[in-house]
Amino acid sequence: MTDSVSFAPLSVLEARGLHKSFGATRAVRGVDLVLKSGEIHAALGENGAGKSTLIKMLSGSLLPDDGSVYLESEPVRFSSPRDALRAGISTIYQEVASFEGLTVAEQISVGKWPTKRGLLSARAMHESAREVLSELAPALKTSQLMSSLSLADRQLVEICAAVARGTRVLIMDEATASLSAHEANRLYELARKMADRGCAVAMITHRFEEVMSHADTYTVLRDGRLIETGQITDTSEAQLIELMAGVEVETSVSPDRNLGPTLISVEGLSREEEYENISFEVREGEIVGLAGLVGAGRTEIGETIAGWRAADAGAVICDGTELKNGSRNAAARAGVSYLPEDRARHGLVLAASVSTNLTVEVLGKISWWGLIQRRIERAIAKRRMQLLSISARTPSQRTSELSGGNQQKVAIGRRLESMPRVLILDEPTRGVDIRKKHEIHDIVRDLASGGAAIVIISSDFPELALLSDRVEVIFRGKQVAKFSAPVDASALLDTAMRGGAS
Amino acid sequence: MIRRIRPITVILTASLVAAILLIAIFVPTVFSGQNLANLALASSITMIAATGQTLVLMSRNLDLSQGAMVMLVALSTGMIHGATGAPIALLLPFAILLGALLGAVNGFIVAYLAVPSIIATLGTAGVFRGIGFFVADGSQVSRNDLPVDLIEFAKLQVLSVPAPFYLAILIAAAFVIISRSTVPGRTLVAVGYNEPAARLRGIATKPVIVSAFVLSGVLCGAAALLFAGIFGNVNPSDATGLELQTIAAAIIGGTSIAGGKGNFIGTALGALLLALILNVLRISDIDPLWQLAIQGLVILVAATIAHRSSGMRGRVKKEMVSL
Amino acid sequence: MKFLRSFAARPEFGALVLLPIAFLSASLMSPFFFVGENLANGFVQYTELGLLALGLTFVIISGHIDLSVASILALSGVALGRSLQAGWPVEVAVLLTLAVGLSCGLVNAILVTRTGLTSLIVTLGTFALFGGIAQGLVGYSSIGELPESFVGVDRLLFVGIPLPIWIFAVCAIAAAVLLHGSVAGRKMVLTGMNAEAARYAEINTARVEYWVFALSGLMAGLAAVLLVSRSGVVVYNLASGYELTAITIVVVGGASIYGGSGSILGTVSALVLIATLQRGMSLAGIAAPLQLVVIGVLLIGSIAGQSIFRIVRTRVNSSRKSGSIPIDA
Repeated sequence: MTDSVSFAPLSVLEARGLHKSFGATRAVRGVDLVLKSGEIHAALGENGAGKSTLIKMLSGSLLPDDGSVYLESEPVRFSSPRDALRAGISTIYQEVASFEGLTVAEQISVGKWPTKRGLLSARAMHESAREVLSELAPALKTSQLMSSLSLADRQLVEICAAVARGTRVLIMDEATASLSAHEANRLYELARKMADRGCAVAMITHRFEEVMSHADTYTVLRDGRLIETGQITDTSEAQLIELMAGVEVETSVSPDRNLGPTLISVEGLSREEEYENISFEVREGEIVGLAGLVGAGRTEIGETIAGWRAADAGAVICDGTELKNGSRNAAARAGVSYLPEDRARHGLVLAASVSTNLTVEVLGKISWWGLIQRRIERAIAKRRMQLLSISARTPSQRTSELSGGNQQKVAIGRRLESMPRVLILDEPTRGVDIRKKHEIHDIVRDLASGGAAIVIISSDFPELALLSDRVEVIFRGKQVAKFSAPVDASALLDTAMRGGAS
Repeated sequence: MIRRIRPITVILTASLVAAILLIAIFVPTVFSGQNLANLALASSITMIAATGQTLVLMSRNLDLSQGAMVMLVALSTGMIHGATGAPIALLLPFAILLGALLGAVNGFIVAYLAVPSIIATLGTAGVFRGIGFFVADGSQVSRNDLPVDLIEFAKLQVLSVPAPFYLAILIAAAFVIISRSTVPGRTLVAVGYNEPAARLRGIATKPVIVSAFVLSGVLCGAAALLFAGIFGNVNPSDATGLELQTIAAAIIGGTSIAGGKGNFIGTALGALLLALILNVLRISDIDPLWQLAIQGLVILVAATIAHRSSGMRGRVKKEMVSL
Repeated sequence: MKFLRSFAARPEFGALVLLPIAFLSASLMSPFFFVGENLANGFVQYTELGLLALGLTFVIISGHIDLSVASILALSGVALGRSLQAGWPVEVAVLLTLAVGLSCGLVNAILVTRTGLTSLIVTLGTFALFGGIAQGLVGYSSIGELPESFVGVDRLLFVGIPLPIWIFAVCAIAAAVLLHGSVAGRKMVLTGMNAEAARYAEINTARVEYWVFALSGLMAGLAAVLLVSRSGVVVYNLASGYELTAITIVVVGGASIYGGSGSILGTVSALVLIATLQRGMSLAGIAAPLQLVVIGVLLIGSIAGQSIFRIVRTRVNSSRKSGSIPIDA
């Protein structure tokens, strides 16, 4: 406890014993959280630790399975963000909820318009907006169109709108993920001003320096459980990172593979505003990790290698020949396959059957004169389901009915059907439970033993440490460090969060 | 109030002026006083209905049942007058209420039954027209069935401009004010731009969408009275394709089919431009049957230009996680 | 039980269940309904609508809509009438008609893939454009006096059944094979389910769009040949309003208006269902306008049914927790 003289922080929002599961995955198990007036509280944890789920239960996006939420000691139950909003809890998301054709003043007033004799009082609207802006964001004008503002400014306007509504609890759910450090700082300055007015603020971020310089208190979550809560001043970065990483469960299998010649090399790859001068190579049988936070440019690099984006500069060389820039076909012909990060939107067609998904990239192989041979299709699907132990009732079951882990295996299995030589896996175990995660790791190791070159993109640092022969760390689009096996997960996390400069 | 003159309004006015100049050179008879009055009269029906279409477009929907609504309201008003001789003081509220009811049916199907508006209103257009044929039962409403006041009003000219045209302009002007500076107006704009975000802000978005359709129905009710007064007879296959005219007028006028952005002045100018084109066709002895093809071309070209020039391609992608 | 449940989940379920009911009530309403000749004569009038619906099935399953089918029919019909009138050989005129239908479909495809507009707006525009060109070309007079050798395809019988029904049957079977058994059909379904994911699976979705709109146009061209031959005349409002019935048939046949699901069997059974309903109503003396009302209600009702079903299912699924949601973003 710090000896704050001015006022004793009052608990504004309290959560007791929250539980939430998704299928077999228990995302949050029995977590308590207290948000106090005048404080900025950071919810910390690695990917999958449950912090987003926790925050979503407070902002009304998710209903807890069990446990209760108290607002100023009154029990509350939010079944929608609207309920939470009415109770004075505002959430700022990474994607701004802006109305592009409206002015800043209007954006602030939507849903709570000032009127005068039945008509909208433009003067009152602009005045109250100006009042909020002059205190919080003096650079913005009330008559500017939202569509003319930068993303950061739109975030600022959203916070101003929250202030104008008389918000008591401000939740920043990855609000700074798409902002530069400078812009993020402006956002946090605003959050601090709100806290000074007696608001309780909760923040989730992937950037550690933001936590250290802006938060007052913290809660660390791991595997859905509350690990520790306390004052930022009483702890250190190293300590927090250790708490987040936790004790490793999976025992590292020594990379006892025969590495072949270099199969694919990336040379000086750059793409404006995404990443610059990225170079690395992967040998046959080698697993290389690309570590970095969400938004660091890892996905963009992966997609460029697979021909989904065109690079501005640099080259991808596979087996001695340079791949045509930005050509998916060229990459596919050279045997480069890419597993997208977003399984539900890109990686799979969830509404289709398991066998359809498994064979979609080899339609030529299962057809005769353009007609699909169901027998062959089924045989291929069954074999792949067996090889990867995908638990589905039949190959014709809808993919959306499977668990996250099994869905991911289908997504990986589909890429294997075309027998790729280079496999780029983007967040292959996100949203997958521990047991399935280990199974996926085994699949990846088997592939490497079979001579494939593998690139794993992940923000799950223990996973990278465990699997990779080598890890390249990407920080804000730049290659900042390189680790070789055995990789230390905490060091990796530390570098990825702070960019290596200590 | 901040003045916002949209570039599209400027472009539209400029092309309207250019068109008028070209016509003045090549088809000067268009500008005879009587013809201009006819033109204004003809455009007033479209203009009123198009104001309703603009509201529906702003809510990110489409109303394909406008023609059928105008026909059904005009037909039933005429039939009631023909049968009972009810005075205009009763017929006027009847027409407006019937329009509101038909619009409410559309709105309910779209907002609460989650049927895409284009399909819903395509279906109700069939239903309304079917009802029209059924109640008409092979006959039609003729001049004798219509209240004299209505026909007189359609003929009335003030300063040699037809009275219905003043009415249409008045309605468009009213909606300019409503959409810019009333709470319901701004709420509709917000819902049209970003419905999920509006819901997050505590706005009940479904009633907003229903009211856009109700207003479209109400305005079609008003347009129906004018229709009956101007043409003097109504039969169940009348006003087909009116919805295409109103959509074309709204799109040329700078209203976005992606929702939110509505421009009532633009819509009125668009309706005027369409009426001008038709008028020129008629005077140059081109079969008026070609007008449908021209409307189609106008919709395609205007929609493409609007889509290209606005940055809305990015916006459609940015759908928030729906709740 | 298990069979029943999987059958109930199939798209054509609703139409197939309603069909015997409609048959029964139509026969009850009029004893003439089930007389063989009447049945064949009745259904032969629906072959054009059936062809439009077959083409539309592909469009709707791949996640689009084509409001212009009836206008394409009209324009192809006008081309047919004018070329026959000019004394061209029947074979050439028919080929030209099919070519016009196909080109109109390609115009739709080009506009959809190149302008970035939704197919709703594009085909609303081409609905007016094609239909407008057709009626402008015909004018208020009609194109009649077509050659004897061309008129009356519905009176040609093969094994006792009118030729148009055979043509439709062949097209339906071909469509079923294409949609349910071929690589192209698989790509259409996947595009309709999730176009973005389909692109990540190396499917050229633009090519799929070309295919489905071209098919829809071609079917409309073929329908024009049958309709003009059957009626022997081309008028300016040829086939007007057909798009409403054709879309209704596809949707009642279980195709999702959002794409990704549907079947040819469903479309065919919905066609027979609607034909039965309308024939039954006509024979029972119910006026044609009320039939229009029935069509409109069926269209809205089946989509409302679909969306309510979808909402209930997602509610159930999310309370059962599917586990498909990535937990931490």
